[in-house]
Amino acid sequence: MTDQILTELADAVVAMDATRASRAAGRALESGIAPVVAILDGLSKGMERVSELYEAEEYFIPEILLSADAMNAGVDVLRPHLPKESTRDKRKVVIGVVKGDTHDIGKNLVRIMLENGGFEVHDLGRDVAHSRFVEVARQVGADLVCLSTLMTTTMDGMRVVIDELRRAGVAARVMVGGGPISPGFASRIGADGYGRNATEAVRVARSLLGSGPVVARGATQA
Amino acid sequence: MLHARPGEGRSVSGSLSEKERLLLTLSGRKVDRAPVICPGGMMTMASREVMRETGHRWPEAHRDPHRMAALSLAMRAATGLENLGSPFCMTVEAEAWGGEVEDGDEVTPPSVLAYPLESVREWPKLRALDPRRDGRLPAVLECTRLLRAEERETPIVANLVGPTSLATSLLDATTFYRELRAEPDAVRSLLGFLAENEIRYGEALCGAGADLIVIADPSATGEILGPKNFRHLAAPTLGAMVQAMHRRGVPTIVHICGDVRPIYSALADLDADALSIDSIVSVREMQRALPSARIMGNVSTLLLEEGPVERVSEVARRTVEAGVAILAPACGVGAKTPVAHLRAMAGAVRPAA
Repeated sequence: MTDQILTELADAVVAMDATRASRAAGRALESGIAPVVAILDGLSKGMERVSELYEAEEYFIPEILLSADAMNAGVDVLRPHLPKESTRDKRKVVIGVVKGDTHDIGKNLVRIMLENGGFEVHDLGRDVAHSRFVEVARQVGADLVCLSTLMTTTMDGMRVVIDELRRAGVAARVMVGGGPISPGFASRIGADGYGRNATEAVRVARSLLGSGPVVARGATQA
Repeated sequence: MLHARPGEGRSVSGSLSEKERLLLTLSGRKVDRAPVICPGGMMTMASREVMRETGHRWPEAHRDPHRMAALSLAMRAATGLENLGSPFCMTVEAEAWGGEVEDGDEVTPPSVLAYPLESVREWPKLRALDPRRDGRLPAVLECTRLLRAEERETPIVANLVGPTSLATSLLDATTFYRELRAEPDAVRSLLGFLAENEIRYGEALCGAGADLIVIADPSATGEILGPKNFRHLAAPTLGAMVQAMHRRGVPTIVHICGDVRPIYSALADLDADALSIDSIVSVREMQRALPSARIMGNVSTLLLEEGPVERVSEVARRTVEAGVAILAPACGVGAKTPVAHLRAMAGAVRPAA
């Protein structure tokens, strides 16, 4: 029974069906499955399959967004039943699109994938002033700061943010990404990591917070 | 290609003006060498260096047709790029439909801050655009007239935003991408309506003196939409724009950002006179996949901004060798890009002055 419900949770996410996901989450609670288990072994498993489908070029951005909506619908049902302390030791991430750029689709995807990957994410939105990243990173005690931009014209702002973070003595690691960003550019401006896309960003975030600087595999842009 | 024209493939000799070379290239004729252009619009053509030299600066040049035209002329003169083009951003249409635009600064292009729509279902709220009245459309028309009065031999590019990208400037992109699946009929209606209006705006620009159309649809990339959505939702309206311009005898180039490999065949069916591609796409590979396509591109704008100049020359030269019909930047050129780098790109095809 438990296995069946967990499979249904995962399938609902893959099927992008929010109604199915919240119904399955309700059944999980009724049959005594721990909410944490329903999330990790049910909904998150579905999201992992969505990532695989994305990398296999079967799912694209619309599918990821709707799958994440389904996952969130399930989490909303489960959240009130989660033990309170389980959010305490989450790694904290501050994310935003740098000043001058209002393209936030990539950033939103990374946020969704990080949240679903178990990070506590503070989203500053788009067109974010350089100093704001420093301020919030310090305030929340961020482990990781993620900077995104889609435009060549605002890339240089990432360098400014990283410099300001270092100058302010913020110890957080920094990950960058977005259309024009390459691994080479990332390392030139002093970023600790680079993610080519949203699913890769989660992998890079995990390895960054575990060990030293990484550049993601599969980074192909010159 | 469906629009094979008389004379296609025949070579043309004698000395050509920049305009003749580009238009002949787009009609499939063999010419002495590839033209080099930077269309404007999303693939913006402006450099801070030239703004400072001439005093025609961003953000004023986004709204004042005289400064817009003067900056375009000065860019052409400084860089050797073989076209004129306006505007310097892709927010003109969105603003004309009520989007709230922030003008940016000397190096930051304008961007849309607040959208007029909350869902694709609200599309009937948009009224038909009047190019002579709405937002900055009259300024771009006037700029085009001024450029035409100034230059007969240099091609003038009219820049249009493709329907999908325009939609993501009229409502939140995340909402739009969700609704691609949830509301396909409303998406189709919205995109069709946008295309119709873009066609009328494009006609007005040609009436003002533009020689060709570049439709930039960066958000329609296959990487984001996937091949099915591209073929069924984005491509039909993009194709309708191309056909409408062809019926009026106006050559049309389509630019798509990102990795277009998953949408090669749908791209070919657009019947554009050239396809402009991003730096991530291999020109040789695309040429093999679509032998009849004329490719425009694809010098990395990151390289153009950062240099060094020798590397720009080398990459531009190799891009021509790889077989582009038109040499161009792969995307929008950053305003901090040194003029020397743009000149080095142009130098890959232009005889030394």
